[in-house]
Amino acid sequence: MGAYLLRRLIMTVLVIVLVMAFLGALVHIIPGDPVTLMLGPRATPDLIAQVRSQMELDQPVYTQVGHFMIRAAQGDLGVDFVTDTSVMDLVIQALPPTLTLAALSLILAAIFGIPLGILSATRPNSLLDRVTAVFSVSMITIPPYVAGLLLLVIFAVRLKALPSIGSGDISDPVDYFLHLILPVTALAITWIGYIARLVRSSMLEVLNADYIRTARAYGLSDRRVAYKYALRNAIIPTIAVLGVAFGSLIGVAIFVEVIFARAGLGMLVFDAIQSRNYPLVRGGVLAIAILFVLANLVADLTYQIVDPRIRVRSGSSS
Amino acid sequence: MAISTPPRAASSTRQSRLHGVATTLQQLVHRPAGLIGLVIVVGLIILAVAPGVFAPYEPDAQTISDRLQGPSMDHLLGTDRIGRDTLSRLIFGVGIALVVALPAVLSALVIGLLLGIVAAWRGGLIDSLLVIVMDVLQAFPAVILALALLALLGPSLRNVIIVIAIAFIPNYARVSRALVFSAKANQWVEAERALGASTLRIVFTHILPNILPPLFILMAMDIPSAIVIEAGLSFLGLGVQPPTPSWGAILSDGFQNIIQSPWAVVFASIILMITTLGFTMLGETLRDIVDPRLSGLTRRRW
Amino acid sequence: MSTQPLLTINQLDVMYRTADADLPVLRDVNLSIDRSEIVGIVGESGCGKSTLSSAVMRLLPPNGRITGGTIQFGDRDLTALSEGEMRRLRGPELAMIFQDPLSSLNPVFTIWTQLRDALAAHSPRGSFDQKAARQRTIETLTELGIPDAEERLNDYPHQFSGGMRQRIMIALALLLGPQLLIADEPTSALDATLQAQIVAIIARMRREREMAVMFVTHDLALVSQLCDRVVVMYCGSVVEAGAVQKVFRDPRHPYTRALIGAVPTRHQHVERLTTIPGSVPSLSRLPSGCAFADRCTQSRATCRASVPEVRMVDERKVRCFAEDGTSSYQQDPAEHALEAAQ
Repeated sequence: MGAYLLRRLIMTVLVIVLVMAFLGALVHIIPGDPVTLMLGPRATPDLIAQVRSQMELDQPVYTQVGHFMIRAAQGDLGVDFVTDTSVMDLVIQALPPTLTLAALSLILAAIFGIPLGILSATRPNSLLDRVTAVFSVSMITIPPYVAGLLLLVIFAVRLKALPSIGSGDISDPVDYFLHLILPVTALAITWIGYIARLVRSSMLEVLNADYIRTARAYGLSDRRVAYKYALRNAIIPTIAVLGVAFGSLIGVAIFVEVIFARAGLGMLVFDAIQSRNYPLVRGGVLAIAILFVLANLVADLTYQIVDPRIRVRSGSSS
Repeated sequence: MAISTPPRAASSTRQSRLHGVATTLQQLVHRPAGLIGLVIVVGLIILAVAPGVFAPYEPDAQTISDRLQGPSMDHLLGTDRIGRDTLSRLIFGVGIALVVALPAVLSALVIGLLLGIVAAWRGGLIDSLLVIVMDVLQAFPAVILALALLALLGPSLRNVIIVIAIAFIPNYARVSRALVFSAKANQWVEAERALGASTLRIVFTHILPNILPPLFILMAMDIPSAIVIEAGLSFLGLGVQPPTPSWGAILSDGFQNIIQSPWAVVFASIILMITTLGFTMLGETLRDIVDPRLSGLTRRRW
Repeated sequence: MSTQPLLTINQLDVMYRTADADLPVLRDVNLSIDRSEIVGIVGESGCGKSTLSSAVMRLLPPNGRITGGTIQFGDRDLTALSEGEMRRLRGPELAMIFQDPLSSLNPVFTIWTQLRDALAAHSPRGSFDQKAARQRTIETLTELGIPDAEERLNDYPHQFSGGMRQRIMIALALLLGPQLLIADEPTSALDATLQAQIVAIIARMRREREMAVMFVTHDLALVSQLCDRVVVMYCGSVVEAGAVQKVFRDPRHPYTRALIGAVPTRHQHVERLTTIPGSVPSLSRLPSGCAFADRCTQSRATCRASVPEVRMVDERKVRCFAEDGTSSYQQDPAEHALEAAQ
């Protein structure tokens, strides 16, 4: 397992490095004058000159990209066009709220999705199963922004039961929590459906496996069979999906942050695009990409860690 | 490496291929999910092709006095902030959704297919290069990649098609590459090469017919994703620009006036969900009919 | 000790429900197994022998049902028990070992966890003595030839070889001291040497623990080696049953004869392996008479008209009009040249 792990880590680092190169070189890859691309057609000559020197655009491409990458590796993502603040500082500031959103949504999705999936699997084709199936499939087809908007309409606008704007007062945990309910639910909905379906099909596959037949053949009760044995086997692909989900949630957080006017990485990128603040766009996107890659890495490695067939080297053969 | 049955050659007659399509269709309508999906998709296509027939108003016809109304006899689904009929806008929106999603996914398929074939056939450095490039593109969540590109390209319908295609290419490239590798290993291909058949001939007559069906299934599953991504981008204002009635734009308008009149948001959400559901049901049923083993390749992606 | 058989299966019918039709997988199966007796169940793939073993354990798949007959085990009818009552019997009274020990053991749990859970499932709540159980497990594993049993309890199934895994399965079966062991093709996945070892173990267990064994297999040689009696199945019914020596030396049912004739021996010099012409009829389209009629060299009109009953002939049970002296058969004209020539 060690060799595989090493190889995977090296590949991940390579991808991240290339992502930095890609983002650094993006203005050159896309046809057009880099400065005009960044600033838009209404930029003044002064602004153009300023940006040109700030972004080192007089230098050859590989120098610029190289400098960007070296600085990025050291944590320097440049300064933004609008407020001259360090992009890295802005990104670091925006990370916690988005990570909180993603983590809580994941937990919510798991709390609801996994039991729903197990329940469906232990009673296949029953009424419960079919009803759950309808709900799950429906949930899968609801994109996060639709969920966010509908929740906003129902709970904030019509019922006026939950706050609709902002992240609330962080020093007041109750207030902060109330502001989290709608966005977290909106993000979690798609994944609840997806996880329920996945757990159901993994469990069904496992429940039909020979080793479950063995457990039954020795009188283990159905509950024990399902919860201890089958789940343990079925959970392996589920955990991997949770890792992927985390990465994906970071990517779509932008929608709920915009809808609920919350500060975060997504909002940062959104504002930056609106104000043509290219270094901030670049920095924010880089942060999101790195998190996405790492989440997928963890998901892949889950199999290595959780499945004893891979984790434990064969001992003495007899 | 066992000698397997020869892959279907493209020399199968047009008749037998039509027959294959006919049986697939027959199986499709026998399953409730497939039937519902097919009905929805066909309905949407009809709306996309002839919106004027069904929409009571022009999509940009305004009656300011009737702005932000809820459902009424005049406006079945209400009006938006400058008095445009929501129902008509949503109907015209079908065409926008499809005019973005279909070309984007189709281009992604074609380009990804070509890249995958070239990489798998040549192998070596070219292959490694492709894999790395695709890895880099897939290092971003699709929406974020699209946003980064649109930030520079500028928002427009054409650019949205381009960025969605770029976001989807890597998956097609990977899948074609994998399929070409396994087809290459098939002993029939070895035999043909030994007989001196040219590369092009082998690719067209043996490899393509076998890798196209799974790719088409992928495409069927990707169309709803593309529609959702486009609507999302337009919602953020970075996709199709107003006054074009993209569902995303309608959602965005509705969002800005959500307190006065939430109806636009509700109805646009409903049609978006029905569309996604219809395409997904159709795609999944097709996949189950053609090759259930593909279920591992089709993941939610946005 | 009573002389009643341990297991008596009476007129057992089992049906599988599929999307297209209901398949009669077992029809009118009768057999009995005495204490300490090893009975072999043989037949081609699909003849229902595995279904038979699943039916006895009441572990049929969800679409399978016992539609008739009884399974008498000791003084209980297994078909009439509730699932809860049946669960209490599985392990301590009846145990089953399967064909593929790799897929039959859970890959993500250590063997100790699995063995312990089976033992604990049958201890009254709160009184499970883990230490004693562990000790017994180690002893049994050692007895079955697994070295360093104590250390290896914490290993996972994939860390053992195929032969070891099958021994672990047997250990699992024996730990609860069942009266009947059902072995469903336990050696089919093993090579000849391992096969011999497993068979020796089963024979030993029968001697030492007076355990009855229902040994399901398609390997006639194994049956003649290990079993006291043999039951031959074809297409869901028993066609011949009796002492192994009798049946194999002098088979009465045409199918048994064909099966034995198909096994190559050292003494014959054959140009081609003998096969039985034709193929097993599909369960969804069973012929109206004897299921073997189409492939039988002795079939006549009577055979296609109705299904023969089981009769005692020459100290074994046979289900065949030709062999049990049925008059209508005798009167039918001979159909096959071979027959007519005799």
